[in-house]
Amino acid sequence: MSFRVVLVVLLSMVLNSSVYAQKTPSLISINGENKSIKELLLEIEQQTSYRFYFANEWLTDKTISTSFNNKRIEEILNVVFEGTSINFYIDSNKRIILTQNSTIYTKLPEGFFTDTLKNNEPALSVAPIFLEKSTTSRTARIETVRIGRENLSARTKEFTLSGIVRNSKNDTPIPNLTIVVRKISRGTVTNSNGYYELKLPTGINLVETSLLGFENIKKNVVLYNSGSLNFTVDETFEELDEVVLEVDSFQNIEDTTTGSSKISSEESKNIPLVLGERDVLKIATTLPGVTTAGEGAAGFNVRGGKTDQNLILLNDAVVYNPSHFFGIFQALNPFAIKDVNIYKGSIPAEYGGRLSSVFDIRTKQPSNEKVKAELAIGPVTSNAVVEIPVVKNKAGLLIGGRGAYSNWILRSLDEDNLKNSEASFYDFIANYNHKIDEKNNLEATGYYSKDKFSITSDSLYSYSNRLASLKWNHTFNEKHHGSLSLHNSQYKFNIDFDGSINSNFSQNYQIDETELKLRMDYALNDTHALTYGVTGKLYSVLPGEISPQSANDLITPTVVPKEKGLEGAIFISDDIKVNEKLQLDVGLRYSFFAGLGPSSQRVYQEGVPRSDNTVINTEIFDNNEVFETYGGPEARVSARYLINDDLSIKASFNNTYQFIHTLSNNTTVSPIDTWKLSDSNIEPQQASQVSLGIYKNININAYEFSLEGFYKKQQNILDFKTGAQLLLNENVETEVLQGEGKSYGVEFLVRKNKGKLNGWLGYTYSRSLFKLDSEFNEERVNDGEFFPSNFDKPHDVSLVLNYKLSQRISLSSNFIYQTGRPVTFPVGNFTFGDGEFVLYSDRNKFRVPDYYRLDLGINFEGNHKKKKLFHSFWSLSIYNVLGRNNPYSVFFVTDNGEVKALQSSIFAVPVPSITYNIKF
Amino acid sequence: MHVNNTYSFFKSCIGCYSWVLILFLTMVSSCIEPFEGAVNSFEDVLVVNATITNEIKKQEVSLTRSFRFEEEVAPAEVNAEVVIRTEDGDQYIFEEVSPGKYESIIPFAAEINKEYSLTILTEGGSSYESSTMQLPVQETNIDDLYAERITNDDGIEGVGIFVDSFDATSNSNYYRHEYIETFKIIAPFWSPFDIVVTGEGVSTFSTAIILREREERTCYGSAPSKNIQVASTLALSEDRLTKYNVRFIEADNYILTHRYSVLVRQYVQSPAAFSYYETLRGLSQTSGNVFSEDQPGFLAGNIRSIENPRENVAGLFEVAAVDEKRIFFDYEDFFPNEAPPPYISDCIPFSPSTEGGLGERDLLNLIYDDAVRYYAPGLVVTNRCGDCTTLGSNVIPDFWIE
Repeated sequence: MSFRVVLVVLLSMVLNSSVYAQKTPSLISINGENKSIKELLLEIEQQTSYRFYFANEWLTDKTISTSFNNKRIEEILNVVFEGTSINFYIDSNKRIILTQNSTIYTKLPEGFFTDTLKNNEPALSVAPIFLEKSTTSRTARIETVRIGRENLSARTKEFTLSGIVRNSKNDTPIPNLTIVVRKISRGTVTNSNGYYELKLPTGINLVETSLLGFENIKKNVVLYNSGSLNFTVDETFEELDEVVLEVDSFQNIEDTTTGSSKISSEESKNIPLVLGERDVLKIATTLPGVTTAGEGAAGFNVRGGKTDQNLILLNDAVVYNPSHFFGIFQALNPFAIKDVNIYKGSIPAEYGGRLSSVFDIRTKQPSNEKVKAELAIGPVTSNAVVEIPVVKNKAGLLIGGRGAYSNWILRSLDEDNLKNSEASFYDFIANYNHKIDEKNNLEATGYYSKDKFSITSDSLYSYSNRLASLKWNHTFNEKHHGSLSLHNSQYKFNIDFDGSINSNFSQNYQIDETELKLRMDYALNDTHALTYGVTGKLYSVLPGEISPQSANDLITPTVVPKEKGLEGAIFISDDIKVNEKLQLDVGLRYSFFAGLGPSSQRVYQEGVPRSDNTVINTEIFDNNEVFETYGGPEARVSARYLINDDLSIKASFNNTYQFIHTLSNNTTVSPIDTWKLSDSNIEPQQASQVSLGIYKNININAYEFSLEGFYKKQQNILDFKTGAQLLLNENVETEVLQGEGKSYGVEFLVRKNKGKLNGWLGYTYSRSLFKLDSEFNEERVNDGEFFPSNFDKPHDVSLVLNYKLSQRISLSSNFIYQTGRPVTFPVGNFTFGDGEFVLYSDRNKFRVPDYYRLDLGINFEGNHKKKKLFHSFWSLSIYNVLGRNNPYSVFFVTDNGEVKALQSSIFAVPVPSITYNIKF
Repeated sequence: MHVNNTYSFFKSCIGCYSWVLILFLTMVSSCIEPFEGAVNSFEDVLVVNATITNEIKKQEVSLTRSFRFEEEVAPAEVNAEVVIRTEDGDQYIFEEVSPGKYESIIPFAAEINKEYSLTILTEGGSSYESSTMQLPVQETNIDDLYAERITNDDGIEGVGIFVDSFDATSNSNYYRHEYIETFKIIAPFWSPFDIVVTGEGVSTFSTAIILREREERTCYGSAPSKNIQVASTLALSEDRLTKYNVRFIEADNYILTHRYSVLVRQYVQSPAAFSYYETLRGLSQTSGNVFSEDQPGFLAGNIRSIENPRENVAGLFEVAAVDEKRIFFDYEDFFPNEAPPPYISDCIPFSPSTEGGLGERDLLNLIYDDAVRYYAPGLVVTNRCGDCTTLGSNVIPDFWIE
């Protein structure tokens, strides 16, 4: 890129001057013996008014052994640059411009302005700044090399390129490696010494190497003369894997998936966030189609789905609660996270078990070359990540830890309820990666997060996530590779209540899941690339246990019996390149669930509302006896049609099953929401979605536009009777309502990926509606009509901008506008007994005022000196600059018989924060 | 970097950050404040409150309507026909004794194993019926009702009123408590005399000191419980309430100053009625957690419209077993030799101006407004300080025991 800019500047200089304007060529005498070229040039500058323009590294250490007497400058330079790749050009102002390889033409070639430059440019880092929905295509990564010096007088059309191909690992020559230039159908094979020779035409040649088991290298060779080009080739297949992934999944135009995006953690640091925490999950909510119920609301609502419908994976293992402190912080160490891929439209067939989306979070690959570390010190949290090579070039270990000292924040809060409360959290992560040999690779991840908080003085809540995953990647051959992985995840919470005379208790909940997954990739031929596999997951849930704190307490120790279930799936998908324009990704997944004993399942009378009084039978099942099975096929189909290189349309259809549900009668996610497996009385949730989108890039991918529409239907969505008791309820089906959901919307996104100013603007219009109907009054909500869900926010605008003031200072801003979320308002008072109570409206009939917020941030990077101890940067941000008091909820309380309308907001004033980060 | 020198390098950088001055200022404000938005919609619904008990008495049913927030009083549903029926054809007809208050014409008690239902025909011609309800247990007993000086969870000192109850058959399980408290009030700045205006002209006026005509020194204030109190013993190993706190009075509450009495009524409810009350209570309280809010919504009881099944009807018809107990105590019983709580308001005798022309004399205007009472020559007090009838009744309650 910069190369071309320079060229254009030079050309314009040339055009402004007349060719060979020197009228009386001055003659120079100079002794060049035992001088380097540079020394000689400097001496010429001293003697004459000629000025040289060049880059130091172009000049070799070659010394001159000639003296010049009364020679013209051209003659001297011709001798000096003999045998180097330097060309020179002398303009009318006695400026001498040296160029490497290229000759400066005094005329533009014919058709320069009419033909688009088709040559492949060197790949410079033009990746989007913080949100990477990669714009790199296969060809953009290709390095360009220039061979020889251009010679204007040379009339030969072909030159010889030769060189040696070596293995990057041990520098041994690689024999039998094919080197081809497809365009002219010319090729050769390296001999036993890795040597090759190839005759090629002048100009640009795309040279490709290929050998089974080795990385395929492509280089644009700009051939000016005969010369040598040596290759070093990597053996690893992973690199290939990555390339495939990027090209297949993230090329916004070419990729077949709809509704997918990728957020890179490192690049997210430029977005201002509350309390100085980098947070890829927060950024996800600025993308169209992903929302939260409000500030401080944990959980995501993806395209009108409930918060329990997202499969959140950390290196393939499920994270049940990816947030700390009610969703204000993500529970993932931002330094340990590489990126997150979000699938909200077409979900790949290998994923299942949740209706709405997949958040595939990957940790960084630990460095196996050198020790690296990152530290951040913020007002609330601090964290550190260290990468340690365990076996040089083979194995690396990443360890991260993070902790919060948020108790002091709570004490400074305005809210009395929170003043006396406490909140602290921490999380740890470790990732080990071992390259066993060329074909085998082992990866292990461990993660633990814990939160502790008390909102009232008499109860202490805590919750924790724990996960471990082990993955073995194996390559069978060039076409066939796969991975076998084992994951275990656990989520649990605990409530300790100690505030009464004789009813103090300790209450627990725990869910465990262990999954074994085999995933294979088979590149059948140029047209078909298959992915297939099988997965099995065993759930074990301890739905609740309560025990007295001491002997005085009259609490009966109660244990809601354990639940067990087996979830399995087989999947296959085929990425079919029908032709250059049409590509299909056809996937099929069959999901299966079996409820396992020991269990007692109630049978309720048909035709009456379920209650303790309508049980007609209770069936008892032995250990591991299957008491209920559910299952069905899931289609995962998407298609892409390229209208031209930068315009495509895509469509997808998919349907999903979900066998595990959260029980929550809160309007937002609460850490003490429990997960419940489907059983005889609670059916799996189902969803099906169609999306259609159009994608357009303009200005060589500088701007990306996308417009996507979706329509989604859901069945058996869980809701609850008003005021349902869910904790420790052994027969929760008597409180559960299962209904329908539908959502639809249009998502528009424009991203600018290049330049000093970059960012994106997203706008979504969408609706999310639920319907809870029944023949019985008590099981009906809003008369059985569709009503807006708690997170139905029709208009949603996000504008994220980042401006690079200089190499070291960047400004960023983040603006969000959303329609206020639906709430249920009181529609009057009534007296009952001696108290006065609030009469509530139909569910979600009203809305809180619209939400908007502006955040600003500035990042100061430390100096970019190459040799320094560590790299540091400061980030300053102000959250909610406008001080907008966004009501999070409006609620009404009856206090001493009087009704009061109150609104709560989480961050009602601008919140500044400073974070100091160092990296080495 | 080589593995061996890793650690020293790392250590040196730990050192680096220790000198870093961490400068931060964070003001997080999570606030709960009155909501200013307009809530325009008002829904006019019938509210039924009918608790039939196992006491032989004229049972009561109250019918009101919902009302707007800016209004104070629930409008009564008048001239309705209210009937309670049993499954075997008994009918108890109710008559309106005051607007919206209906009493059974004949006294009766709910009996065990009988199904009762309520029907209502309003003046406007709408008819409603309840689902059938039964008396959950034959009877219930408050084993003990007592008061103790305690410090509550918030560290505030005061008097707690406690209930002990035990059902050996373990059939009761769902309890609800109500109380009515009655307390003696002695006006601290009472005088036997009062001041009246006998004449007022443009430049002259006259007042007279007279003996008060009614008891205004000692009165009895009374207040019912306003919050719902329900408790279930299902999670306990026995059907027992031990030291169950039905009321906490802070030590500086003036109602404790002299003598205090409380009548506690204990209801044993059906599960459905208990759940209604519990949900209603839940809907009217904050969860104590600004981050998660319970889903509110219209709470349907067990009464529905016959003509329009979609019409919302609030309230409940229930049949409950009841027991009641009363206790008395004096302030000295729990706070011997301690200063009594301050009076409900500050009382400072003052002498309002008598200057000015007709209608401008402060004292006279205050007397006309019945805002002051005579205290001593030239001094008056606000009537709350000199006349207890502003706070209670000057009639000694029937049950009162000194």
